[in-house]
Amino acid sequence: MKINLSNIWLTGVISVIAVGLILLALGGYLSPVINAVSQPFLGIQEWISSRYVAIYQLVNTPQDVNELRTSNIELENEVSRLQAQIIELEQQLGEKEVLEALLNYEQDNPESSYMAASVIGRDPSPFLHYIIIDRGSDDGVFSGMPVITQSGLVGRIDAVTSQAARVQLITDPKSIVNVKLETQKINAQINGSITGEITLEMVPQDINLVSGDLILTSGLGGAYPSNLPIGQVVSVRKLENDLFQSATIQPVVDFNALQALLVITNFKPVDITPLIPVEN
Amino acid sequence: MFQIGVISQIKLQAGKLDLILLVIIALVLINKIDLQDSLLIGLTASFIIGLVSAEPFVFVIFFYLSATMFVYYIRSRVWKIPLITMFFSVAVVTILHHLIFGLFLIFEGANFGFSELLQSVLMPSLMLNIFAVIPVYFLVLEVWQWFSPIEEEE
Repeated sequence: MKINLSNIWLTGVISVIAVGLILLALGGYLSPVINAVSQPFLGIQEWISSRYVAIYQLVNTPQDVNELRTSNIELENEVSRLQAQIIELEQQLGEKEVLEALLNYEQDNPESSYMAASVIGRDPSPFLHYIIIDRGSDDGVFSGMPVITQSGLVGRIDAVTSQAARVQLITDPKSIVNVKLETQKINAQINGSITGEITLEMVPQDINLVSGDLILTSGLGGAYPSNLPIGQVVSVRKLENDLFQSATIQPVVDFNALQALLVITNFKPVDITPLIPVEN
Repeated sequence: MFQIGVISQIKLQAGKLDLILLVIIALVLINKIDLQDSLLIGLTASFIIGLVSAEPFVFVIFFYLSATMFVYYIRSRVWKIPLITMFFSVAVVTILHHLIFGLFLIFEGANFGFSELLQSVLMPSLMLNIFAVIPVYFLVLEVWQWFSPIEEEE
C-alpha cells in the first residue's frame, strides 16, 4: 500500500507539472525555452529528412527519367512547332511591312500607275544581275517599264512572258542609267558592275562632288522617268589627268533583299537608238 | 526552279553554284547512258535555263550540250572512277563557260575587266562547284539507285 501511495503522489506531481507546463506553454512563457531546446533537434530532423528525400529520389529515378524524357520530347516538339510558327509570323510581318511601304509610296506618288510584283527568282548566271518577277504581259507588263521599290529605282523590264518578266537591275554590268545630282545641275551616268557595285561616271572635273550627294534619275534618254532616287555618293575618285571624275554610290535599294516591287505601268520608254548617228 | 529560286541567291563574291550543270554531269557519269539520252538531258536542262536566264539562248544551249558531250566522251577514256572524272569535268566546263561568256560580255562593252572576271566570278564559281561535287554526286547516285535498283545477278 505504501508503494501505491507514493505512486499516487508521484502521478499527482507529474500531472501538476504537466498541467503547469501546458498552462505556461499556452501563455507563451515557454517559447524561448522550447526554441532553445528544439534547435538541435530541428537540425538533426532536417538532415534526416534530406537524406530520406535523396534516397527516395535515387530509388525512384528510373521511372522519373522516363517520364522526364517523354515530357522533354513533347516540350521539344512544342518548341519546334512554336519556333516554326514564329518564323512564319515574322515572315508574314516582313512581307506586310514591305507591302505597306509600297502602298504608302503609291499613295504619296499618285502621278504614276503602279503594279505590285513579287520576286520569284534570280538569273543563274553569275555575270548578270537580273531578277524574275511574277507579273507578265497578261498583267499589262511590257518590256522597258521601270521597276522601283519604295526606296528608289531597281531596274527595268528586260523580257516578258505571259506570266512572268525578267528585270535588269541597275547593278548589272551592262546597265547604264542617266542621272543627275540633286543639288547641282549636272548630268552623268551610273554603271553597274560584276560585283553589284554602282559607280557614278562622266562627272566633269569642275564639279564639286561631296560624299552624301543624292543621285536621281535625269530622265534623259527616255529609258527611265526623272527624279527616281538611286543612291548617295560614298567616295569620289578624282584624278587630274582624267577627263571626268567618278564616284562610288551607295544604292538606296538593298538589291540582295528584294521581295516586292512596283512596276510603273504608265511610263512608255522611248527608244532613241534610230536617232543616234552611225559613224561610217 | 531550285537553282533560280534558292541557289542563285547564294553567292561567293559574284560567283554562283551551277547546280544544274553538276546534276547533268553526275547523271551522265553515273548512269552510263548512251549519247542520245545524254544529249536529251543536256538539251532539256539548257532549254529550261535558257528560258529564264538573260544569257543568250543559243549560248546556253551550246554550252550545256557541249558540256554533256564532253563528259560523255571522257567518262570512260580518262579515269575509270566517276567521281574523279566529275571533279575534272566540272573544273574544265566551269572555267570554259565563264571564260567564254565573260570575254563575250567584255567585248560587248560590259563594265568589268579580265581581272575582275577571274577574281570575282571564275574562281569563286569554280570553288563553289568543286565543293559541291561530292554531295551532288552522291545525292544523284542515291536518287538514281532509289528509282532504278540494280538487279542482283543470280
